[in-house]
Amino acid sequence: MSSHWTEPEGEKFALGTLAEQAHWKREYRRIVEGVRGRLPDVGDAGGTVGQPIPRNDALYKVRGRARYAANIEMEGMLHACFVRSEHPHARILGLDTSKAEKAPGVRAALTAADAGEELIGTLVADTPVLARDRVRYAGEAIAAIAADTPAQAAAAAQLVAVEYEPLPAILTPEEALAEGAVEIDPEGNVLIALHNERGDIEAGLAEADLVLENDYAMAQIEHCFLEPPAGIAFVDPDGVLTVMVCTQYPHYHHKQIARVLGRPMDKVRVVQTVVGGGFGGKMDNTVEIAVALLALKTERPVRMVYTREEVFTATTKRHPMKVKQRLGATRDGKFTALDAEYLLDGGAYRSYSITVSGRCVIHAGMPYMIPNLRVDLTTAFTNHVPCGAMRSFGIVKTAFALECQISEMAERLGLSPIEIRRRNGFVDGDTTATGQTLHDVGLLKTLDALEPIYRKRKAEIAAAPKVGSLRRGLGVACLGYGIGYSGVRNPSTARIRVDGEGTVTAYCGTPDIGTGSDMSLAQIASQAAGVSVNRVNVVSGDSTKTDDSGPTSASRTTYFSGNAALIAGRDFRRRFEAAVAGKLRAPADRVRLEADTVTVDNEAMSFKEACRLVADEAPGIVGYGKFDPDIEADILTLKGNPYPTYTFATHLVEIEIDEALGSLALARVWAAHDAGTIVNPIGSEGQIEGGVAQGLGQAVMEKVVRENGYVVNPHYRDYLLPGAKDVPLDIECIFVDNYDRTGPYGAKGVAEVSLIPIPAAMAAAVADASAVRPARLPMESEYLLRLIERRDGAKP
Amino acid sequence: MSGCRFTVARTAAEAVAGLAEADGEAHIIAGGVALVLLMNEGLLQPSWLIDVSRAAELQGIDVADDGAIRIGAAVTHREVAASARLASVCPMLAEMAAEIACGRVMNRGTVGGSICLADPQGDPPAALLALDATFRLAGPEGGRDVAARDFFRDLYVTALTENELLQHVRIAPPPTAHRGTAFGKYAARQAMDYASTVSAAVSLARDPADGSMSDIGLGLGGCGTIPVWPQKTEAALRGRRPDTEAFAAMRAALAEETAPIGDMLYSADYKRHVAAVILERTIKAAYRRAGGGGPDP
Repeated sequence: MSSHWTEPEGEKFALGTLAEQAHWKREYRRIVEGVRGRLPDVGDAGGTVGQPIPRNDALYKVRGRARYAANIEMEGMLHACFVRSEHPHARILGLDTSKAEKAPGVRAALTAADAGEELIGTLVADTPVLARDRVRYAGEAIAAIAADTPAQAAAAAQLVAVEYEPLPAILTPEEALAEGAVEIDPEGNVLIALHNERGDIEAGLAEADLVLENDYAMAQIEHCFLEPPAGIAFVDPDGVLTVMVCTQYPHYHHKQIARVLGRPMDKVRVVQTVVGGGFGGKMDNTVEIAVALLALKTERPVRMVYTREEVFTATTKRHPMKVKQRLGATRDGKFTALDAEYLLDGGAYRSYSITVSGRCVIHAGMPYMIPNLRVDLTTAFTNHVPCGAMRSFGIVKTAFALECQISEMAERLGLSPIEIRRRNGFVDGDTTATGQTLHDVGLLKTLDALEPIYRKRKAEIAAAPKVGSLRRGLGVACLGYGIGYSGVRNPSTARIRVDGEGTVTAYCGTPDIGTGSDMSLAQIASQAAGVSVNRVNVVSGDSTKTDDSGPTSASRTTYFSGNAALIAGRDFRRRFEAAVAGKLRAPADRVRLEADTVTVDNEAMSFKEACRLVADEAPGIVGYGKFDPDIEADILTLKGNPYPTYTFATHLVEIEIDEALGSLALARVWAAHDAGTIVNPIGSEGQIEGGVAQGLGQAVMEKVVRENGYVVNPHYRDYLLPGAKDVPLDIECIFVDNYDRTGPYGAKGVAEVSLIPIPAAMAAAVADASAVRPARLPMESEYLLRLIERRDGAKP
Repeated sequence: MSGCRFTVARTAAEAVAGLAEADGEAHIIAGGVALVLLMNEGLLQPSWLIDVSRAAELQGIDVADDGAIRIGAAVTHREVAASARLASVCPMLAEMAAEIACGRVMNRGTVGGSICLADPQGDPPAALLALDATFRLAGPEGGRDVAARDFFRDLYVTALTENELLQHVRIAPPPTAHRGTAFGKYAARQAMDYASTVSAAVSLARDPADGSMSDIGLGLGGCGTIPVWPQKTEAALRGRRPDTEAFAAMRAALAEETAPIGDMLYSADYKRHVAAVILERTIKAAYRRAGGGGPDP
């Protein structure tokens, strides 16, 4: 039996046709204007880059119309679930699915024997689809069941008998690296070790008037996307295996499914469904191969939706990390040396650990000019759920360590936290620790933007009477962040078509995962093409319709895909002008497409009229853009130009701490960003506000609690996230005026970075308020209370 | 949930009859806040649910002229928070109810549900201990009264027998004119938490002549396996003004009669410390309301 899938027209087959969308866009605009005041009219104007345009998916989402993978129903559809390891580390001696296969409603059981020999993995294929003879963490998938109902599948999963021989579980990187430790991976327990060096570290430390040495530790955290991983697979009558899944990178799954299943690429299609939050957690493997294999085995559509417990116990996490670090500075606050050691718990498989590790080493010391620098990183395997990509790829933790130390250095040297950063911050022409010379650096502009606010609030807080045990403080932290993959080429492409009625469709492989990137790309493409943004429909993240343009990750969509859209838009404009010129037998240089109008000498016609004119040729008018900047870094020495550009920011936060309880609240945030040109301020502000909320969670409450290799808080009751009352209402977003000569219309992108400074800035603010220096995340109230008690105990 | 019977009781008697018929297999449901959570997690698979949310005797908030209060077991936290009459007689109850978890829980959750769940970290039990409330239980033999202070027996165990349900809560009129009540709590977040980490409820009277405290009623959440009525702490404060010595005595007594359970978020030591801080602040707030003045904590 095969299945038909009738695909509704329009974006992500959830948003309806352009005509349907028009109504929602108007409605949403009305609501947004109610809050923000009148928005510029973008009806027929040519360029909209820089204008706040309401995104077109918001109302569909809030009204429950968006079709997430878990909502997609198909005729004859089966429901699948995994059978997961009950041991953190064990040999599998036996696996018996016979009882489960006889259970009511069960249509198929899948084991390693069905999954072939191919391994899966994002960077290195090191992970079995289903564990064969060994499990490396509690929660690893061993088998999968497909049944008529989710309850039947879950019940049958309980009947799968697995015989284990438990092995010693390695629970910390220190244990993993100890002599004689049981080897988790065939290649040993060191997942990756990296080193970078510039200048002479010992000379730099000797030159310093003050050297600070500190240890920092950060807990493991979970992405906490609202939508759990989910996907559905089915086989078309023409033999195409389609997998629809919530992912940040459909084209990766397309290639991997074809490889693992041994199918030609054109017999596999991967479509990204509406993504309910990613944050790096939807770049990895979850349901894809299992639903594909089960759909082939049962010849029925098969859907799998993770439970929240599975999200916590079996999806990738942010790495727990320890930092040991020395920072040296002269009396006037110039940094002379940074000597950093990073130790990361990578979990049981590689996932994105290599990327995270590389990014941490490349970014060590950033965004400051530190002439002598040495950084050593080790990421070890442990018997925990694998750690992978998460918003900022580790930089939120290295920045926590560095910015905390810089704040302490400023205080010890009698400098303001802004001044010490200004004296060391990157400027145009500075060279990074990998040897890259920087351009269009707006870091100091972000410091300048915040300094008057800092001075004013500092004076006001000092003058305000202290109430009970409440204390207020200010903290500052900066960041610099490379845009795109680290040191490897990651081109993006875009394609633009038009029909005879004037509807323009832009195709791009990088999916919109809720950031509003489809709207930003439409703005860039339409401006470059010379057409109204209202005409542009974006199709993204569909392996059949779009080219592989890389994932939506690494803050790369605005810059990489935006540049591709820009080039494609210009190419489209040129081709369209040529087609009109051909029809009118006019010289091509006399025809001009601009602001949705075609002018030929002094005659003007609307774009729509022109489309009718060239209707018979319209399918052939395709604009194409590829953006592939020349980036390269040596994977061993890390020297080179790992990123085409860097985005910078400084955050100033005000906190209130209750010293009697140790409880910490974030009162206000001023977030100054150099993200180049801002394509859509509504989208950028939204990203910053979300980043602040996420940073707050990581700063004060989020942690995955692990005991003996098991996650013991796999639900939102005990894994705390900030609620609406915890996130400050006062988040002021400041975009400094800066133009990146290599970005689309000068843009760099915001994305991940808005999260990075928050924990460090809050820690600095705690030090400002209470004269204690937190050195771990999360800064829970009990931890802060102990620091305060120690402070008071130390007083004479 | 397949095969679960669901009946709606119009009166307490119907619910009692249903419980008897089910012979231990039925669960009472009102707002369903905790029960449905347990069912969703697969920890409870009831074969029969008896809905008492519309049962006549379990409705309404009545405040008599003398200040006596009756609250039906099916009254929601939202109703408690919104009752102006209740707020004027006993501000602590409205204050407590207004800060429960979040809007959805306030709208669905009931006073009776919170009491019968007997979560040691629940807010309403602590408040009702402090107010020396009486619980009216309906059962096959008619009804009986049990003091709140005698109701909570062990972790999630109460004085309710298998065929009984809670009908309403009664709170006697305040003993003197100079009474103040207050509720305080600590949780990691400003809202949304499943239950407070630590909560403190205080009812006291202030002697206008010498400023001393009398008729002290205290209740604590998150300080043991049940909602705690700290009698020794009450005794340590009785007859004193709320000064440094009184609070030192309070701390000593509190340490003696509370045994918070450490969990994955907080140690028992920290909870004990927080209980003392919150209780002291709440006593000061109640004292102020009793006309005692003093700065905000």
